[in-house]
Amino acid sequence: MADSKTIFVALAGNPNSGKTSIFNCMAGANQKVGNFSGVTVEKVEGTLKHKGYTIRLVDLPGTYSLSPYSPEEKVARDFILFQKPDMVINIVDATNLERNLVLTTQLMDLEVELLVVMNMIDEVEKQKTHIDFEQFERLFGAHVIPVSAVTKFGIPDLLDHIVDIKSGKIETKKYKHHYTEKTENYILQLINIIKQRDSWKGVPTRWMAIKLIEQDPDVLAMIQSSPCREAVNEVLNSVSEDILKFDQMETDVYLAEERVAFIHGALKETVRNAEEEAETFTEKIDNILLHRFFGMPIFLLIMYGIFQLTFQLGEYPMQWINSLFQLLTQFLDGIIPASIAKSILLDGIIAGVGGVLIFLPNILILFLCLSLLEATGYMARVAFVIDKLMHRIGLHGKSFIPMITGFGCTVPALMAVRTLRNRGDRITTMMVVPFFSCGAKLPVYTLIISAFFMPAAAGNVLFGIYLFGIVIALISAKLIKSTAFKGESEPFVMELPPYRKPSALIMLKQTWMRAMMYIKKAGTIILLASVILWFAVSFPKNPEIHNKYETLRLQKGANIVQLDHHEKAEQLPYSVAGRIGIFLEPISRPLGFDWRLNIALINGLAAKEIVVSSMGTIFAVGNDEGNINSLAESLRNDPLYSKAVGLSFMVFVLLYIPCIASVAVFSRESNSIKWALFFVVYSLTVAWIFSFLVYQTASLFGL
Amino acid sequence: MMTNRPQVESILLSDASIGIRYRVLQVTAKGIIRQRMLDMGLVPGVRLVVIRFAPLGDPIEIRINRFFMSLRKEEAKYVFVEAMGPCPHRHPRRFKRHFHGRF
Repeated sequence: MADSKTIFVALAGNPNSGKTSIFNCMAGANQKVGNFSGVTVEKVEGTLKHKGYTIRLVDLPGTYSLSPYSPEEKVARDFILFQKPDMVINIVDATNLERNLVLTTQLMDLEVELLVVMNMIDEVEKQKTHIDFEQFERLFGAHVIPVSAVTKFGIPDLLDHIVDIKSGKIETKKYKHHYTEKTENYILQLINIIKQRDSWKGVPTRWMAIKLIEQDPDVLAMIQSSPCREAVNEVLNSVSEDILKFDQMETDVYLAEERVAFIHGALKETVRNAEEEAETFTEKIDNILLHRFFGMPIFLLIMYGIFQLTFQLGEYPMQWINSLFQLLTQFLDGIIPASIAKSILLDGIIAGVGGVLIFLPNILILFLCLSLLEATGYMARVAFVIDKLMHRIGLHGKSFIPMITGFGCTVPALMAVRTLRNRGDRITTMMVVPFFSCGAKLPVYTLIISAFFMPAAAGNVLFGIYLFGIVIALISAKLIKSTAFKGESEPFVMELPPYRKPSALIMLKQTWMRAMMYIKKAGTIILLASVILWFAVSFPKNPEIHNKYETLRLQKGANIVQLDHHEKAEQLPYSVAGRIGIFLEPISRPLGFDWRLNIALINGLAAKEIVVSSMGTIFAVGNDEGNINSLAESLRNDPLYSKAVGLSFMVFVLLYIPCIASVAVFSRESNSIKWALFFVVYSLTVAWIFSFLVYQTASLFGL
Repeated sequence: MMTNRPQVESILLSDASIGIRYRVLQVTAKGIIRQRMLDMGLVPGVRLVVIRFAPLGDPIEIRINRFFMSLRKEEAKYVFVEAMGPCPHRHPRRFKRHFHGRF
């Protein structure tokens, strides 16, 4: 137990109840983001001092209930049960009490020290609704504090209350939520059976009894290994028989109905509403945004806007970052004497850091847009509008955003998958996102098309490649969803939250924290991998070739830059990457690739842009922009290459691992090395199979 | 088993029309869909209004008390409702049929 001057507080509440805003009001800048142990559910902690006490806040994930069906709810419930916070602050949206209080009654069942915070009290006043707080406290047995996160009203009062409860100045009544007499009888019977057998790690027995009646799988499992199992089952059988017979429903529906009825009755006593059924402001906006004809075009326009913002606007800072690193490289190039250490620093480490930071503008803009959608309430509408199509491939409407983002860059797209609740949906979406051809692959297609195709055909070939990627993605999604995550579909039973004015501060904070998470976790892996890849391309060197070029360089009037290019090209087959390229020839030959294309593909693991520049190195034409034409020409004139090889190469580039960064982010976002490995194997396999089919078919037609 | 319930005209929520008020009779969903429905307060006895269908015809938006929720037609098939007459602030709309499963 913590000392008496520390108060350990958990914040619970529905999504969209303003929980995060209240948390921010309380904790200010003292925040720490992490994950709940073992799951990818974000955990935000904060500390503050008030009247000599240290208050430790944990923001539980936003949930509608405490059922064991989703990871968020399980996390919230286990946290309250086993971490035993000193008190639970339940934040409810005062404009929508009927639904928000369902969670409150469940928290009452848990017999925690409960403090109910009624948020958005300013809106309630505007609606001319009157709430009788005293009567409310009498009915729920918990203190109620009206606050507004927007106007900051009531926050000091809330902090005072926390301290007063801890110091014993106020005593909460800890009412139990009373069910009907029939239910209470059964609850009592069950408590009597289970409390004799075990201490159940301090889990309240009344809560266990209620959950047993509801047939909660987790609590049933707790009982299964206990000797009281049979006695419990006997009672449970008679409960379900009784309720089915007299009320025609299953026990869980029965208890849910009891809760709703209790809330309904309590609200009748405490809340006087203005007119109930008039069209709300939100409904009026939705009459336009979800219009049966205009809803779709508006939706597409918003999506297009986000895409353009992320990748067009993001282009400028990306160029700045790029030129900054170029300048840095040039500067260091000038002052550090030539050595291996210099090469590691410039071509390995600095290039690697650049590779991490280059994604930052995209990530920041995209996440700002996403949190804007989330904060205003349009995100749920995105899913609402497009769900019918996404559901055909077994996914949820929300998977749409990561997918189209994939056309820009796979890394932010994989991170956008966070907005999905269901793990199966998350993994499946992540598996197929890379097939939406990212922007960095475009230069490769351009090069290959200009090498092997007539200018008139270029557009069609390019379109075909993109379309092919989409088809593969859709088929893969259907395949993965119906095998690995069979029957694990995320229901669409969800709230369409009211439109709200977003808080700029929260949006910026969220975006910033996510960006930092990317830099910290993915960044280190990307950096490490870039350095390893640099070694693989540069070492070992063949000393004879090196000596040959050393003497050439010493000759009068030698073109050092050109000689360097030629040496690099000649050294390549001796490097680790080159040897791997040659080693892989037996399996790449059926696709039409020789060792040189293999090296280009290996280099492409760092980033797809590098495929073109590394081909420049391989074919010793230098890697300047102006040399693209001569590179295309050397590809065209090479006797080993043909249209068939070009097609096969483009298909392979489209489908294989997008880049090391994406693998790093995949593993971090899925929280599973196993899935990250499967992602690597799957994309390589799919790429190989389709390149093989394309090459063999094209060769058959003599292309 | 359901014999002693008074006879009412029960229809599936998936077949409900826009602008009509309904009362929930029974929820037959299983697993997580059922849990979500119960969490949202979609329980027997509750009144709801169908607000709209998504532009592609599915999912459905309904209003319970003061909040709006959506569910797919295939999920709405697990909810039995009875009609309670038109909702005063909304006009019953008839276009729904045109959207049935069409895209």
